[in-house]
Amino acid sequence: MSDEIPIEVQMDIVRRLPVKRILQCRSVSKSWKSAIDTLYFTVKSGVRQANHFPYVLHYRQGFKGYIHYVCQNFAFTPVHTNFSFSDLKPIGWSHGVWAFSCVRNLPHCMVFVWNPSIKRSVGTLIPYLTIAQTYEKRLLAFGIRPDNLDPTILKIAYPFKPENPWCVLIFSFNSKQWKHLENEFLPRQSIRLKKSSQAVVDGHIFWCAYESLFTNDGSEYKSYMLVSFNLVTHRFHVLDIPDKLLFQLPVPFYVSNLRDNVVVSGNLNVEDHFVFHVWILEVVGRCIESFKCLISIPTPCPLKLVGFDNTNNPILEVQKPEGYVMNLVVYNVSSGTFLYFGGEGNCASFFINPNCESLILQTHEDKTVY
Amino acid sequence: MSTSSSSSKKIVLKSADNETFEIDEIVALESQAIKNMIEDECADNVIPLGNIDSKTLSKIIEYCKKHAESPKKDDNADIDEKAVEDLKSFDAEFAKVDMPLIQDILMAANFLNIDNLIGLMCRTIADRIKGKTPEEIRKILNINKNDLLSPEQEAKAREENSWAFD
Repeated sequence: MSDEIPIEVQMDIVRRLPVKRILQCRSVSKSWKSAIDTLYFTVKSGVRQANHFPYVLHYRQGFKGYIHYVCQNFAFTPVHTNFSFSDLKPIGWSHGVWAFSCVRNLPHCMVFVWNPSIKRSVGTLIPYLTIAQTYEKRLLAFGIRPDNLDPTILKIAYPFKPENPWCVLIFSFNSKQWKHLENEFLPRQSIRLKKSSQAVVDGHIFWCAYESLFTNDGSEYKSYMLVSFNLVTHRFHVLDIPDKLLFQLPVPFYVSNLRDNVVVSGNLNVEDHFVFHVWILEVVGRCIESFKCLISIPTPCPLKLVGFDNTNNPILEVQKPEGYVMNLVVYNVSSGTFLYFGGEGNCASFFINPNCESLILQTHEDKTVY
Repeated sequence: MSTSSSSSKKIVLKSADNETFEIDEIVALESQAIKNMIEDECADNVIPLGNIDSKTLSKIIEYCKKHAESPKKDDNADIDEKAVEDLKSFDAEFAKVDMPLIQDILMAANFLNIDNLIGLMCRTIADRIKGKTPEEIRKILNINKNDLLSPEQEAKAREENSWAFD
């Protein structure tokens, strides 16, 4: 390669290759290796849909965890990794990267992020700064910061006493450091986030959240909302749910995403059965501008939204008739039929996400724990 | 294509081996670098290109002519598909040259700042090294011997992603 072609232009060639080939190119020359091993190159290479296997699926069965690639016709192929999934609980998914919490090494809780496309997993120990301050409930969250593809972990701890603010710590894998978030970035301290689900859309992590309020006669009730966290500015925002939607929405609702839209779902109890609803939200700035009911299915048992296939049909977790084991099904919206696609697992243990290629975590050594 | 008054103005490019090429200004404007020179009025009638030989320069002019003649996307929202297809097959034919010339064109396109041509050459090289081993890539691209990793460094680089070499 001529020296007169700047390395920047040479990298323009390399980043057009599949990620596996890019990793091979690290041994082509010194200048290629040092240019590829930079965050700059990781960001320039971006994130793209993988060619083979459109989805990655994680679920648990008994005490064992499984990860499979899933192809277009819903056949499974096990994902070969150098770690076990059995002690892991998924926290979230963003830009093709998964985050798990791992409680194997008690008293330390570790979070690790995994990029399946380059078989790289890197962890961080969760600091327990707050034990002495009698903080109680904790919540972990994960998202990739969109402008620099920085994998970001959030640890949120709520105080026992409602007059104390949240304690939020942020870990950035690019800086390899934990940072305490100032109070001015936090939402009202009386707000609580629901642990069960998070979704990353447009540079924000979204959760279902509530606040305990009292009526005039003194009885307590919960007021529900969406809360978002901006991965760039590190600010939390409260998004009020329009009355018209709140009125029909089963609470607590479940938050997920359909490509670049926030989706909320849940089961409404109607006499002797349930109706499972999915709404797609249009979030503009800090407001829910509009909402649309995507699906409404009457069902004898509650359903849980796991993801969507490439034709926007929902993939659902359904209870098997004989008991507590769950199955995955695809619901065909136009024909109103269910297609069973296997996998028997524990309740609420299924996670399915698009399979993406990127170099996120490439600059970290595999299995490092910070 | 609107060629009106600009079609009459000519620009002369001079290659490293002192060959001159007279072209329409509109063709030269495909190069962002030449466009800037003309706009800043620091271009004489003859623009010397001391690092581009005549073989490479004539290829570049061939490319710029074709692309200047084709309707631009921002000219017309519903640009006809035939023109797009025509340009695509021109690009495909254009790229059917040997690797040294491709690298020369890429170097020159980068110097002259012709975005589409840089992209075309990068795509072409990427297609030719796709599926090749690092050893083959070094050969195809004629990587400088001084730039090679030591055997230890290379072993380590492979080890770090051994699965990618399976």
